[in-house]
Amino acid sequence: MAEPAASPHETIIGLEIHVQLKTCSKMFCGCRVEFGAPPNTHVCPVCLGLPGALPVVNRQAIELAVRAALALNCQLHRSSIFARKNYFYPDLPKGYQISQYDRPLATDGRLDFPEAKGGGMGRVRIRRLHVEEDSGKSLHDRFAAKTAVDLNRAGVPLVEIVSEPDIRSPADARAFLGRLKRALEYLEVSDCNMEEGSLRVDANVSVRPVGSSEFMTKTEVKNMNSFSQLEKALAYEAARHLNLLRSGDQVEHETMLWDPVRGEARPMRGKEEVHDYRYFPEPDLPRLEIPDETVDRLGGCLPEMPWQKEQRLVDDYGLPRYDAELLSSSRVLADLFEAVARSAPDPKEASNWVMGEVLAAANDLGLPVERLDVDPEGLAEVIGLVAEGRLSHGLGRQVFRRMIETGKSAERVMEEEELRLAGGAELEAWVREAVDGNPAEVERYRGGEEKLLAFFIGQVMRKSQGKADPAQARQALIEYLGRS
Amino acid sequence: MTIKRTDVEKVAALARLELDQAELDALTGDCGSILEFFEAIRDVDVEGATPAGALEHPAPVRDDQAEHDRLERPVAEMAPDWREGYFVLPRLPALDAESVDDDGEA
Amino acid sequence: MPGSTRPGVRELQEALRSRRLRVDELLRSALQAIAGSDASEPPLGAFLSVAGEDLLTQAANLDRALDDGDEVGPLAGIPVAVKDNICTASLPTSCGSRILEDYVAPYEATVVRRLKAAGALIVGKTNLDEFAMGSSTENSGFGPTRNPLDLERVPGGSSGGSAAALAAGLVPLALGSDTGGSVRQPASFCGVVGLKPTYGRVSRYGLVAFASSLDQIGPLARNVEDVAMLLSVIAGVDRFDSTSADLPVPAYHDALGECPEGLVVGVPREYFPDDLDPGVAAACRGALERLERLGAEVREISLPHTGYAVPAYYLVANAEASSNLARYDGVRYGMRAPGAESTIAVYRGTRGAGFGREVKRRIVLGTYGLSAGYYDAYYGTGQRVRSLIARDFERAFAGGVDVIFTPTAPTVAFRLGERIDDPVAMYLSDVFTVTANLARLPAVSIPVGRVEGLPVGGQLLARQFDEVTLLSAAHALERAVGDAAGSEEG
Repeated sequence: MAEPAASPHETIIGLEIHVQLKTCSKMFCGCRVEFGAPPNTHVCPVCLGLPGALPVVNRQAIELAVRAALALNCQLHRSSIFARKNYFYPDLPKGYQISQYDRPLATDGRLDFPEAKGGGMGRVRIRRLHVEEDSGKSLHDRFAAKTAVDLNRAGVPLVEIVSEPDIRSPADARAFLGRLKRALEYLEVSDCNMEEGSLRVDANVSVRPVGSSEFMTKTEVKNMNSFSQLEKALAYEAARHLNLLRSGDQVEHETMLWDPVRGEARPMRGKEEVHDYRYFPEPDLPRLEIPDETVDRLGGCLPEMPWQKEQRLVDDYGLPRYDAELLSSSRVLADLFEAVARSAPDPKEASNWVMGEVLAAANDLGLPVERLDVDPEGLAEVIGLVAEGRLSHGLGRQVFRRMIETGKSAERVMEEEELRLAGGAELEAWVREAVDGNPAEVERYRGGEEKLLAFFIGQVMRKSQGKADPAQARQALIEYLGRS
Repeated sequence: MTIKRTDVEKVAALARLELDQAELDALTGDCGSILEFFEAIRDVDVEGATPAGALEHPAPVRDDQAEHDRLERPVAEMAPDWREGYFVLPRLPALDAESVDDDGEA
Repeated sequence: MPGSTRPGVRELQEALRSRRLRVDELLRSALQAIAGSDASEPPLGAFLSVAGEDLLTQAANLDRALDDGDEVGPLAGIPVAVKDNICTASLPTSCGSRILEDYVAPYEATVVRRLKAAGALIVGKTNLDEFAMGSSTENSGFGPTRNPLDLERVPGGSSGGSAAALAAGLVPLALGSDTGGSVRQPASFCGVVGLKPTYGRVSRYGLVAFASSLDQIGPLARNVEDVAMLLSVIAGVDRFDSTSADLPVPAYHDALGECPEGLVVGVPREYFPDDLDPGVAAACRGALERLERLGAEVREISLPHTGYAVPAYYLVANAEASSNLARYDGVRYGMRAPGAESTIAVYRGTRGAGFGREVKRRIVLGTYGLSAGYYDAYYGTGQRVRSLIARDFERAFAGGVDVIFTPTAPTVAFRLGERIDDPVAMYLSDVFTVTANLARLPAVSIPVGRVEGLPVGGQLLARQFDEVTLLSAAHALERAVGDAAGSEEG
């Protein structure tokens, strides 16, 4: 594929992004939102479009949309209007989609992102952000020559985010989308899972000579289901435009479908009819008002974005970039880190424990981090005890686990479960067993294979079930092995 | 305001209405005289009049709770064609090729 | 019905409570009367479906409760007819359309739930113009309803089945829906009382939408008190209808008394044009004189945009209808055209075969009026004129008028077939009623006289949500008009 940037042309990209809002129930009815449920099991009169059924707005969906609008620095419209977008499709039960049209929830936003090349920051203006309901799913390969319709997804809340055509390369499109995804995940607006369809991206692409301010004919590219596919599809399409222009041909204004298997975009057929969506205000819903209380609660000031938090973790705590990025990927994790770091002896240790032991515990217990009952001060105490040498790292980990499981303090766990470093006679006994039980290794050690010391330390640790301090064990082993 | 036969045809296509020739003729005539009758509304000075439609109260909102589906009868019973949990409708095999995106427009 | 005096609901309640009348008896006589009305030639055609055995069980339960002196709901044992565009889970809801032939809704309208909770017995579903689009009930996909007062005439529409069922004495209470006069005009033609409540007063959840910003369910009965009683049961906010108003519901029937003191009745000159049927005009003038004699002040007013109301109404209603009727596509429920071999053929064939001519007209006009390039001229203008019409009323009420009196319809019931091929003439039947829907006002039609034996309805309108004043004035007028009106046997 030719790289259009190498020519005196530039690529102009605008994105239309659909984001599924993280709610329990649908936008306008109480049906559960669940990916992968058996078909047509989460449906009711409203989302089936039964005659006489009426929509009622889900408060949480609106709050999440407001959060997204604030994160994108949008102008939030305290009064907006739902509109009907009319078209026929088997998975659109009412024959119209409830969306927003000339008075959307938010307009005129922006999001800065780290450019793919050169390390600078780019800015993408957000034209609008509006709330709407999703359609169902049409399956064309389920039965031969039939379309099968599943309406579980019909009515799931979405926001549509439309950017201005401010993006100048496929790589930047990817970088921008990455930043947007990170923000929306962080604010818990959406799962942003492209495979499950909770983040869907369509792109408008055109190319023009560098220096021109005119926009050329654009095409719309759809069906990109990962970040890398997005980048590939845009590069493909930009190159196609450029080739057409160079050979003196016209770019047709049309919709292209990306085929990830063949790595090419093809014009969509069978949609020759010009769309006329006949938007008009939805008479079943009064205007949408965002009360003061909601705005005060959600965004009197903008929440700290993950990249701001990342920078602060580097600046204030001296964390390595890797740690800062990982911790700031989730609000829960970052908050936990900061709480632990407040009373832990060293921020880097706190980071290690949060990234290591906390995530491991969550993984082992099969729980999300927010559901783990972690007492930050207790964890800081454990970290302190390890740092002071009163607990080995392994013992510290055991104490921490038991704290999560029982909700007890570090002191109580250590006392009740006798999770303390053993010394003196106990240690002596483990050292003796480790050495006397492995005469062959003793022989080799004495023959000069000093690296076998690690083996003996491991033996001691195992026998002590972690209660031995590795440093003390090492010292005791050297002495004991040297003695006889 | 007037409406031509081709307009009626176009609108019927947009509204997914199958009309035979006689129906199309009749509808063109009917709609023409109705639109002529509506013409009187052009005399009104609507300058400064805001479109009606907005109710006094804002849209009420409900809590985000998944409630039980309120159906007194299974969906299958009302569907004209139902297979393995899906609503089913015919589709020309020739159209199958274009199916990639047909996942709604939202 | 037992006896021939056609007792009101209050009398029926007393008879049931004192056990002079049993619910079972009342119900069986209603079912029998309904069957009889369709057995004659030509059939009345008021009902599209009638309840069966399970309703007799309900009646037996109510009888047992009444025998035991248990607390029962306010409409316990009273038969009610429900227009067939209001969803019921036990009876079909066809909307008078072939496209929903045999469709049985898997849920119930809020008003139906409230009626059942009040102990009412839903005896059947009444005929209507297809999807409530019409003014004569001739547009039903299942045959017309006739006017029981003259079987060669229409009962009005679209709630013609409900009005005819009342006028024929088949039931004491009925529900209709009113988008541009569909409760009031048939009430006028059949000599009964019909109320269109303020938009938002009654939940629309389960009312099959025609024009969502205009539709409202309304009660019909043979007198104002019964209408008030039915309104008290069905009114009030509903969490399933975002357009329902969260306002307290007075006990309307208890609020009826004497003519409200110092009542000022506005009479808009635009509603008494020179070409108004002289009999209708005379009956209305007579009613106004009686109101004056009761101590009301009658004052001429002007509602200058009245002449544009019918076009504005149709521009708005058709646009909303074209969208509301998009869901009938043969995919999920209702009829599907046989033999279709593609998605688009299912749509086109189903809708082409399932909808009648009037519905198609309105879908075409509504779709046209919303399509690119026409929105402002059609839907946009309609909504703007609508707000001017609403402003006319606001000014009149601000000027001290409490209620407004007009004829309900420009004529008495016309003959079957008379206007069916002239849509514009048919639309003009609504000329006095559409304004209340456009301005979201409550309005009631009550019989005020007769022309050659056919009833004339007078319409009263009041401020939004002031059904108390409206019904009090209607109640006073009803008593003043007395036997001159249509309450005698037809």
